[in-house]
Amino acid sequence: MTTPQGLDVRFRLNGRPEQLHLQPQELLLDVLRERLGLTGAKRSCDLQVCGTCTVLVDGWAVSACSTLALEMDGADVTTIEGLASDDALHPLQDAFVRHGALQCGFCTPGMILTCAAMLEERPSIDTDGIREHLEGNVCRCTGYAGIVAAVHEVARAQGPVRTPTTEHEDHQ
Amino acid sequence: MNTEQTTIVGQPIPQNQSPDKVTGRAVYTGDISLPGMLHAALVKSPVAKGRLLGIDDEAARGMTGVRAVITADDLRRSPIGCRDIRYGVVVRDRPILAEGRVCFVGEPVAAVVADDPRTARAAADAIMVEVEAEDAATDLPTAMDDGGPVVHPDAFEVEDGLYNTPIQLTYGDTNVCLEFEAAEGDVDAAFEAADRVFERSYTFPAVYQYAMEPFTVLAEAGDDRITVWSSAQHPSQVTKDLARLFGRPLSDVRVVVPFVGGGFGSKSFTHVEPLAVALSLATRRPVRLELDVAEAMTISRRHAARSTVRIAVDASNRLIGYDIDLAYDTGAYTLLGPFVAVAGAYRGLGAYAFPAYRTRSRLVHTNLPPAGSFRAVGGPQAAWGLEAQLTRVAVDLGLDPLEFRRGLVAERGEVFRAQRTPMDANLHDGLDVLAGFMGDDVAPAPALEGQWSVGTGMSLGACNPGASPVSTALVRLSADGSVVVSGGSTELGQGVKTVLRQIAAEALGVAYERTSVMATDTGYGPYDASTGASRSTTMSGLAVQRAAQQIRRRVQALAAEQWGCEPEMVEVADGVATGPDGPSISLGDVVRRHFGHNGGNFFAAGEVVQSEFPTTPAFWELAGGVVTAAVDRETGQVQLLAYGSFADIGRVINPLQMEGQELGAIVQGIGHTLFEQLVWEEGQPLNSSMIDYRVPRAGDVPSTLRSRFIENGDGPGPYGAKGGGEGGIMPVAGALAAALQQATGALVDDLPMTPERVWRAVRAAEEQDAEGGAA
Repeated sequence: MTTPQGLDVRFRLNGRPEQLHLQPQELLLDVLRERLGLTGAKRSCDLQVCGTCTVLVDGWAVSACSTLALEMDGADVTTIEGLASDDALHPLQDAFVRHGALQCGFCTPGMILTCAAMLEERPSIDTDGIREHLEGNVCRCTGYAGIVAAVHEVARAQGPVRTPTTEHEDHQ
Repeated sequence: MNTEQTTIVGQPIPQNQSPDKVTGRAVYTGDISLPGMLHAALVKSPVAKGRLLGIDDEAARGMTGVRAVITADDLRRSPIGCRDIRYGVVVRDRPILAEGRVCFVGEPVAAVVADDPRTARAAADAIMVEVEAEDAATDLPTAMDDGGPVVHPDAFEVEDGLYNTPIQLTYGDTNVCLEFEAAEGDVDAAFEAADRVFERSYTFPAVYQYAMEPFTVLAEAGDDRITVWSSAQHPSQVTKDLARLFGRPLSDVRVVVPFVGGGFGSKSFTHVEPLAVALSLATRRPVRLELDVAEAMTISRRHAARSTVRIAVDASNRLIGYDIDLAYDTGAYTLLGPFVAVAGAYRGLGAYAFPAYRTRSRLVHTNLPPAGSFRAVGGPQAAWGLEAQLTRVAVDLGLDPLEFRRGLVAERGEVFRAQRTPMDANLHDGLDVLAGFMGDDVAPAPALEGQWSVGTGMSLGACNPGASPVSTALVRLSADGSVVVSGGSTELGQGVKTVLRQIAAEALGVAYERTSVMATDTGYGPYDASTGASRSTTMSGLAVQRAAQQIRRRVQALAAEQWGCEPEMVEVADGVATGPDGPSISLGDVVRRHFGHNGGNFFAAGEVVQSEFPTTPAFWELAGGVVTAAVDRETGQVQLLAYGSFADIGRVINPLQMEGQELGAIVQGIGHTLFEQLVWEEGQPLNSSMIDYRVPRAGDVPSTLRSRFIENGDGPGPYGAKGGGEGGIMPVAGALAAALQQATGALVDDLPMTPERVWRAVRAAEEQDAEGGAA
């Protein structure tokens, strides 16, 4: 099921240049998973609502399951595999581990990337803001409390000083 | 009571391999690619019930990239060569592919294998299935009607071995395939003597477990070996089914479980693994079968249920008789249904020592997708009617619902169910925790517009975890002092591998960091009956503890021999054996010295067998919840403000994992209480996507969540642990119903409590108030 013509697409992927010959119908999620071996983005709802396939495109959190790979031409793409630096986890990754913000881990890559984009935009977001922002990322295991606590800890560390709240018991 | 002091057990250690999960390195079944791997797609029944007249696959077979198309006719023939095509947990009713007739919309009737998923899907769509549709039983009331459509006129073979007593089901002219009843005391006399009888019926919807990873399997099968990678919860059971279906010895079938993207019961038992194996045998290539969400919704779900609860009260406001009548919709194939119905019958009695009771439970076939396991099987459905009704009776009698329950719960040591394990906890501790939560001030609802009323309610939940107490484990000490643990319980995210490492480290005397744990692999790894029913920490944990203790004793014996002392005088801690006079040796050196070589291993196997547990359940899983909620009387909208819970857990091996299990269970309970339900119209699914089927989002969870774990070291597991992780889901609906009742007087009988249902219940309560006022 390929069309005769494809297109050459150049973009940056996790900080490195990438060039691919793509068919117009190819989805970003398939290209990442099947052609580039980056399986951190997961397929689940396939409808852009659950968030497991989230990647960052020019800093925006997008659903790779419903994004055409061709649209990556000239873009800067970050997947979960590119978030940590060589010797250290990203603060969100580290906080997720410590707070028990994950169980099965299937939603985790998308969840962390969504939160990374969110913190870029709203570095001092409060817990209500975090909950609201996570509408597009579903976790079926944790009940979200650990996720909210982990993200809030990173937000507090990055943003202006805020009133401390206890984990899982914030009364905002 | 186990009061052993521990240093590693009890620590909030982050989950095993969680760095892999946050960096995308964790490999799930669908992430595995093998050389030459093909992709499968399913052709499914378009109707709920009918005779299969023909399958036209000519166009599909001619498509470029299609490698095979198979139907039921191909299964017994070479090159697939099935010995049988039906399998099941209790009854072998489910075919690998529908043969002769179809029983629900979405039942696989054919499968395509192609070079890539798109081609496979396109070919599957090009296959025409001709079915003569028949009248179908697509809901519980229709299925229970005499003279209505019958799902299965003919009986199926009974599966052997999983449970001690084979269960015979009824087929023929009824869809009620199992009827179970238990009673103690003279319940009829109690109702005759009653001053007042309270009766009400409740319904509970079919809900989907919604593991985020849809069921996925990769099979590589040939004449000499079958290897399957599957997101299976119970790989030992899958191994056994594959061996029987394809006529292979157990030793030639290997099921590997990579990272699993959530289970909650949906991945319990054998699902599409036999189909993937058949496709691999048909093509002699590795085949990946990755279900989409709509397909995954047809492999397992929670049983929809109805219950009628009757309570007899005497003139002194004492409960003297209790009667619950349950019906569970098990769908077209039974999966664990018979067990669910029986478990539900007991779970509908809670932890209460009723003076006289009767519980009846019926299991009903429908032309809907099969219902299987979901966290606390059968329990939330039964607890819903029980707990909602207890609150209503208490309120009606002018009694405090919590104190009313306090007078009913079984006391520690009391035999409150004939031939069952006596109560192994002090439930008053839990009730005290709930009473404390109820007295707490809760943050006010934030700036609510509309006519909001706030209420607080409580409920209990009691499970008789029923899975077989059968586990094995292997522990290996290497020549550098590091330890490998393997158990047969699969890691679904519940944290079992972390907990098993902690138990092994504690029991052997090494640091947690010196341990690692293997992926579950039935090719070489130990057997385990299942991963579910709150049994991993207790049963698999016990097997690991016993294996680790054997290695510790061996180390002590070898060191003692060298130092000329008694083995029990040798201390083993943090990877070092120390003698009474101070000599010490690292565990790695004990291994090397024994072998006289720079390498070697000490292996030990641990096991748990059924006969160790003469009565069931192995422990009672007891939980309770308190919820404070705001209700908008104008719109029926409900907002949860705070939730508090207790779990009577014996000993917490890892507080971080345990809290995750508890909160996860509560939030899944919020899902079925407020909005989750699978909807069908004449068997056609109406909401098989995440857009139409809402699971709780972060914003649906109350901002105040508190859980308390009661630890008395009184469980049968390692260090006095009981199982956990299921109980928390049971009290949610009952607690919220109580909160709504307190806030508005509304009585909701049907879950989920949609705004419309709540609004109607609020209106009904207001009208009754007005009438009462007028009279």
